[in-house]
Amino acid sequence: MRRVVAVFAALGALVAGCGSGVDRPLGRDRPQTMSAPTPRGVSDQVTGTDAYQVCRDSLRPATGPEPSRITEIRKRGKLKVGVSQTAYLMSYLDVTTGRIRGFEADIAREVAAAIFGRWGPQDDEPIEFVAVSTVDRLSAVRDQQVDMVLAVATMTCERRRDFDVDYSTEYYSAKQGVLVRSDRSGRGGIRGYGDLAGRRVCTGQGTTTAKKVQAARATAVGVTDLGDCLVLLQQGQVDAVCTDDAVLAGFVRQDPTTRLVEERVGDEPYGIVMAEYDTDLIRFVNGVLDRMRADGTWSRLYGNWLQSVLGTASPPRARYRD
Amino acid sequence: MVVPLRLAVVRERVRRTEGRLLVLLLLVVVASAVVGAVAATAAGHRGALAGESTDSAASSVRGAQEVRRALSDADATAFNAVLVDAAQAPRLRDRFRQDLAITTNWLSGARSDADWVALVSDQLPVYAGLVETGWAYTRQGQPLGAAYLREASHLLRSKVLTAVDTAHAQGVDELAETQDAAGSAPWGAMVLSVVLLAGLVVAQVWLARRTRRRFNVGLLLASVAVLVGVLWLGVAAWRSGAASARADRDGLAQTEWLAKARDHGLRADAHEAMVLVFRDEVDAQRVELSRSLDEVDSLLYRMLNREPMRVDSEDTRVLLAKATAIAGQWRTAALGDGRTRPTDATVTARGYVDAVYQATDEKGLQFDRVMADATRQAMDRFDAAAIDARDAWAGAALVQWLVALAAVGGAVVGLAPRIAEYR
Repeated sequence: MRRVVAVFAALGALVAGCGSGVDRPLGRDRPQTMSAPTPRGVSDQVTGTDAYQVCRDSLRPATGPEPSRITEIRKRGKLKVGVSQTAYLMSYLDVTTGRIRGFEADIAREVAAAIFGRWGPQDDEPIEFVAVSTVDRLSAVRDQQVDMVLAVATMTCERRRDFDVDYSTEYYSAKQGVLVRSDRSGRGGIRGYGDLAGRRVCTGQGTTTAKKVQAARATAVGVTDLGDCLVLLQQGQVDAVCTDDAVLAGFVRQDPTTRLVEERVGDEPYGIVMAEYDTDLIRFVNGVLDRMRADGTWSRLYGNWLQSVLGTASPPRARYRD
Repeated sequence: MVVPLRLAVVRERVRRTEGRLLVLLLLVVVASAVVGAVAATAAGHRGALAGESTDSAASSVRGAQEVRRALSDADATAFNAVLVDAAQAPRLRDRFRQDLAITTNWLSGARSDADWVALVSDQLPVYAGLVETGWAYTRQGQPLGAAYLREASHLLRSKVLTAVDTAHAQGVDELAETQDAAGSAPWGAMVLSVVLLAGLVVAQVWLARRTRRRFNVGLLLASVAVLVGVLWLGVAAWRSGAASARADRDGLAQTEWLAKARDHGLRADAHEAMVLVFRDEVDAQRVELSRSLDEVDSLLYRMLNREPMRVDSEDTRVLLAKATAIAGQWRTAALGDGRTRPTDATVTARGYVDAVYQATDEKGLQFDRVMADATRQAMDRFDAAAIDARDAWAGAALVQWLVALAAVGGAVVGLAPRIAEYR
């Protein structure tokens, strides 16, 4: 009998040992705050570049028979031009038509017309626009992906030296400007670099402007794509945008509630970038630019694209080193 | 003095055989009832778990997959919508909004206390706002639109989709756990049953000695009933376990891989459009596009050819082969065959329009449709196996109660006459 009882007692112990409970964690209260979205690659860790030396002297236009380089391009049927495709008013892609538009694009078309002759609106353009990023725009020329680059490139001596490139004569004299929201500056806000202290200011990562912004004791916010600066300004995440006035002009046209302040600083001559050895092409392009300055083409294009924002201007003077 | 007196009486009674028989009867009745209850509960619990994984848990995993797909599709559609002409744009904008509707619909049914639900609910309107702003600027031909679309995509990929992924992974883990639990053997109940069986055998032996009868038919009946109960539990656990394993391997794991391949497909679709929208990062986008298509190829190849991912179902294999073919055509159309480079940094107005035509010709959509069918098949396999796992436990609880009843009945039938003999 004892054995029988023992077995059943063991059974009782086993039953008592069974059973367990699982608790589900309850929800937590969460704070009702939300951070604003930020574009990719935005950083408060901004590095600037020291001011560079400007080299605005180029090669004098040639006279005489057409050089073989131009004949070669004509035979190929297309002029290859590197452009940024994202700089509104300068060179940008109209995504609905696939056309590259803007001041720089039209200058490229003038060069193409000088090689191929004028074409009708229904014809294919004798130009291949190649998208070049700010980082790659000089190596694209050096590596012969394109004949020339028009992409808001300042004519610096360092670039000429480091990338084996050379420039045409100056086609636009840019300065560095400050873009603000109209409402803020209207209430005694930012009028120039002197008023930037303590403000959040968006600028291109690794540029000379970034250095100027930091020197003005502002909090620099760096972006890799300048278009993101306008987004940040519109979202109220920065108080101002500092970069070249040609770029800022595009921002003003895209958002009329922003304003370019009067003060402009610096000296940023834009030149068409070509390979250093490509002297025949450089001289040819300078010839085209000379003609554009003389016959009013430059002023017409400037009037079409930039004048309404940046005011009247006369073509930059050509300077030659030979 | 009352208690010791009563104890003495009880002792006296138990010393006598009739008392011992009565105690034995009580023990068997109580033990059978308790073991029956434990076994029935264990069986019922497993059946319920298996049933749960066929609806609630599975639907949350399915929901997360659907939201993942919808948001990834929204990302690609947001870019495609700015490329197509004015006649097609409304259709794509509707598709984008439909994707968001799927997401909010699912969020409203999700467990609202989870962190990721809060995050997705918070960020989704912000995301939609950025995309709509991007579209508005792009419609005016302004590149600022692209900057907004890029910010939107960054928000979606860096915050929202990672949260959905976490939810999905949690759901899959829970589902797998539930499946495992449903298919696990109820060791506790089985051990108890075996101990009860042992108790009945010992009682039988003791009774045989005491009463000089070979067999007590009642106790024998009880023993057989308990034995049937144990075997029933074992077989049900084995069947359910096998079905659970099938649900895991042929269902859940495959839907996971298919979801991954689909996601890479949708990413490729987005990058294909981004090459044309973000002109300053053409090469980077081409690399991303190529990488996404590589991932698609690799996943499809492994699902067709390599263990442990190899898919056995012929129907699904046909779909996977079809998806592979579409992905191949897609690659050639988007990245070129070595001679041509449709999505290139170079753009002439006509070349661009051709490239847009390629990018929005819905190779991505075709691919996704085939993959959706394959996913549905895998999910059906999961459902079928999960139903098998549940059905393996069908009636098991009832059987355990009947076993308990039979054991009690057997004990009463077997022992009551013996007890009566002493009265």
